[in-house]
Amino acid sequence: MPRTPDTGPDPAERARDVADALTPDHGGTEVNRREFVTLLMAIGGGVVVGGVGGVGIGYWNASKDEVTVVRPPSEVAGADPEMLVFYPKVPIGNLDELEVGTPVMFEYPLAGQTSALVKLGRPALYGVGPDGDVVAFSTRCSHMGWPLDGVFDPENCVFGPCPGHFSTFDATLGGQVALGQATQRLPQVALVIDEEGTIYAEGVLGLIYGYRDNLKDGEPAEVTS
Amino acid sequence: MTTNPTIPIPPRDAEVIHIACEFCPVACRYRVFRWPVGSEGGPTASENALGVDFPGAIGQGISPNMHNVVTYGGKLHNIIVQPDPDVDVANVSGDHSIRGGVLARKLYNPGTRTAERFVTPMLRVRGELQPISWEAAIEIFSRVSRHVLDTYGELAWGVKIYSYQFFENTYAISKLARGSIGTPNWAPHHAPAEGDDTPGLSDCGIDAFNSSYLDDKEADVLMIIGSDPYETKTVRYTTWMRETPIIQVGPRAGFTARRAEKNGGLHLQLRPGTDTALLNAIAREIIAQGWEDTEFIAERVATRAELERETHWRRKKFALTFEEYRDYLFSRDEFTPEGAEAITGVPASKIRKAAEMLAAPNPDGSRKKASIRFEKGLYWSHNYENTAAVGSLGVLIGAVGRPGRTTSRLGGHQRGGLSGAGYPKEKSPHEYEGNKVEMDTDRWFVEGNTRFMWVIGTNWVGAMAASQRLRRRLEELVRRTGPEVTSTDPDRAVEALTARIDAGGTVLVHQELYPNETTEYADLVLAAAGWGEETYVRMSAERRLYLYEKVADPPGEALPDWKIASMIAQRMGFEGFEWPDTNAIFEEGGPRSGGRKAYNELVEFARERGMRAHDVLKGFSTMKAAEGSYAEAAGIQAPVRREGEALKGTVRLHEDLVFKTDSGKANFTLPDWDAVAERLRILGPGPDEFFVLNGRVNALWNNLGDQLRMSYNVERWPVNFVEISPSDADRLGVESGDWVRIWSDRVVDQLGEEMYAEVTAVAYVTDTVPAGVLFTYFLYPGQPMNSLVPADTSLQPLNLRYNFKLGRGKVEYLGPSEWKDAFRMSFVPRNLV
Ligand code: SF4
Ligand code: FES
Repeated sequence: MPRTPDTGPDPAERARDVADALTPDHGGTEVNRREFVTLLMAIGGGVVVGGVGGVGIGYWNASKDEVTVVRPPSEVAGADPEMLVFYPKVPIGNLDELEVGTPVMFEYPLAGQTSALVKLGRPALYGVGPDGDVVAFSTRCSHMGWPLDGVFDPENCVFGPCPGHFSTFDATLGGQVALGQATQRLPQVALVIDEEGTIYAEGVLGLIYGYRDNLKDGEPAEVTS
Repeated sequence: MTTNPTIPIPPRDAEVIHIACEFCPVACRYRVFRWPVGSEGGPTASENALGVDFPGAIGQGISPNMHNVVTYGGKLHNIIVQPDPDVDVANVSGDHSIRGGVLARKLYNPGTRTAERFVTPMLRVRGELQPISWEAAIEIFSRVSRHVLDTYGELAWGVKIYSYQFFENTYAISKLARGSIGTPNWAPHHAPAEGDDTPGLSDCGIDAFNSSYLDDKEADVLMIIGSDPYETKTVRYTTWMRETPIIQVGPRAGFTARRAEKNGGLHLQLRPGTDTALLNAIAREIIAQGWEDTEFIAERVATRAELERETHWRRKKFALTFEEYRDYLFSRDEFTPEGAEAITGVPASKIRKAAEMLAAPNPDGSRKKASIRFEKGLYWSHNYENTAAVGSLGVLIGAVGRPGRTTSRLGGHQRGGLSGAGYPKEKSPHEYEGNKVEMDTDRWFVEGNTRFMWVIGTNWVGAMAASQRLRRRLEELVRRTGPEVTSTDPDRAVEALTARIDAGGTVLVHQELYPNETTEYADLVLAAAGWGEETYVRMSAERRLYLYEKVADPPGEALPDWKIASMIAQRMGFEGFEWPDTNAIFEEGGPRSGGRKAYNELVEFARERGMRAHDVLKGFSTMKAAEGSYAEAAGIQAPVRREGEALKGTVRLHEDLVFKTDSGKANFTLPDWDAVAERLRILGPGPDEFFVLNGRVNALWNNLGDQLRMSYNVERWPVNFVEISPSDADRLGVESGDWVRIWSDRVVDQLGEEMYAEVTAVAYVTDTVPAGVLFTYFLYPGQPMNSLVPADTSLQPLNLRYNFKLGRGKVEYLGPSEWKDAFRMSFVPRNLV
């Protein structure tokens, strides 16, 4: 059954339910959903999360003031000025410019890390905006890295089938593999929107394909918006 | 707090180990980097063992789920288990599926849910499984076994075992059970009896695993029956079949079916259980058009005189000449395209089109290269007739023994069975028309005849048909008969267990990695080591032998299955079980490895050079097809042959057009529709019932021992699901995410009686299934869909196989589940192309 925007509790509520119900799996390096949502809420409550190697992620629909802008690397003592040590908060678009079902490409956090920003038209896990339906995902397939640019299916809100090996990722569900071969979800870019409708990228959940660390081995992406 | 996801990169001096996937029959090759924790390689190619400059390009990445920390040699090591990017057979360039891609996480790491592994033997004392020593466990096992054998004979002593979990284990255990003990009470994980899974094909003289993946690619057209290879033989599809036009045959319109239709192929969406009629109709149409392979039939198909000389009773009964086969097909209106449409629901036009795609000559008059692939969706119903129909169709179009032209199984798992002793069929209590058939061990158990049952590496209760009957009998025979074990003292334990046996009860031993439903009834648990925890050999669906090297230590005191068998055998006083390691078993098994598995040449080759056979095989692990040949790359394809000083593999069987019959020629076998129609009349759904099909889905594997302990998979499949068509869902008021119950009071049990069974599932509303058909995962813990499957083998008496694909039942809405709106389980279509 297609979920329609007017059914069910509000997306943030659902995200919290999900977090409560998830079983943590402590064996690996993948950030699990509970931790992700804990982070979201911590920041939403105005708590600053930071530190070298840490991650700062904006809460759903948080206002500009509540979100702590992570510091650029140049301000962290001892950090390599060429490297990112935090996820930067960068503007990637504006709510007014988004059309339902039409992805807008951007790079984040490093140059070449292509991602797609899309308004789905139905509420999504970690969706932002008044309808909780604005999400962004890496467009390097988390199976073997084929590009997912241009294979967004607006009717089903999925990225895919991937031209590589046909994986399909549910954009309403944190990039869960609906069918396919990827061994992690499609990495989701954490977003926040300010009062003017500017959409910022603030972090990435999951390892972008080909990287050992989303913040290493590349130059920060240029801010385009 | 875990923060930004990162993975450690193997340093240049990391060890490299080769292993193939644990799961499906494709047997993708993996390389494992293993290095002590604490160090890490750098991001440039010269600084790491991967030889990759980070960020990696397509195919060079490592997923976080490919990393783990394990114990090896008693010390903590990082491991990266990576699909091998260097191979050019099987998973060329490191292709892999969602199952194999997370292999690293299967290995024991007590910080994960793998902590639920059995780490010691255990004895059930006053209802609780208590850890005991191996010495005590082996003593109890051996003394209770001895009592059963001496008092009730070997037929009362049974083994239920995986057929595939490595040559060395299956050899050791069969040598003990079928040889030293001599019991016919032995059945593989998938059937109630030992024996042939594809008897109709075998009676055509065709080996079930005769092809290579290469043939999938070389074929001009590939007919696939009863399997969705994208989901269940993934890399075979994504690497080898992706460009080949496919005729997909099956009731479900899954990914492969939809993509076939989009890419110049066909989907023949038949009603469940009607394959024989469909295949017969296609064959008849081919003959009607004069498209059969007349040359092959004239030269390599047996005549009546030759068939008269066949010695096997089944072939005497069912083998046909071309003329007899043709006359059978043309004697029945059911096999006209229109007649078959009425039975199967497949439009006559598509039947004609399929015949044309398979057999109409090319414009230049040459034959098309057509191949046929099939799996359990075909042969787990009407086992003999369906496999006879597919084998006969293959013979008709000459799809045997030639590049791109083969008729072969896809496989359900890898091939790891090696017989340490032949099956003692002469002792079986069961027969058909005066001919001995392998023993129906489930029926025998349900009748109360099995006093000791050793279940190895399978969830017997959930995996077999009418599983709720099995469960009830275990409850009666294990839990409610005789006294309870009250002490771990072996004398007192043996006394209590033998008292139960003498009171008519059963003692159950479960040898496993993880607890499952069968463990609930176990008196004794033997903690087993698994994949990656010992060095073993097995082969893929294209018979490619490979050495699976040890990656990590088994947890705690867990031991490999061969070792456990060897300890039991020695304690029971049997000789010939003193192997120092798996190589010794592999070498001993060489002379017994016949047919498609034959590898004795490799053993001889090693012996002449003073080498270990395992090491000779290991030498093939890193060989490439591009530098030699397809048959000797990333392993070697059995049968292994000798050419001068070199070992050679075998790309495909029957290349000499010699078949496994007395005449050496192929023959047709009777695809008897009347037998099928009669069985469908008894087992088919009534007007208000559904067909309840079950099978595998992409992410999940067998009893889910591994998958349900990985959060990644649990998120996708937190409970069992049932696919239901949009029209049925509307009628029943069911939406995706709702709980339903599926029940039947007409489940035919092992004794032929009808019983009630019920299971629940979360509805997945999808047009993958047609109206009237449900599809669900076959072995989800706690929701045993096989309990809706008929178990009466008297409906299939000549080859004791269950009709797993003929479950039936009714459906009712139970209420919304937590997954309906909780953003946890995707309900998007899984057949988007
Ligand atoms: S396709 Fe099969 S063998 Fe290959 S990785 Fe997947 S499960 Fe393993
Ligand atoms: S790269 Fe996308 S499915 Fe393989």
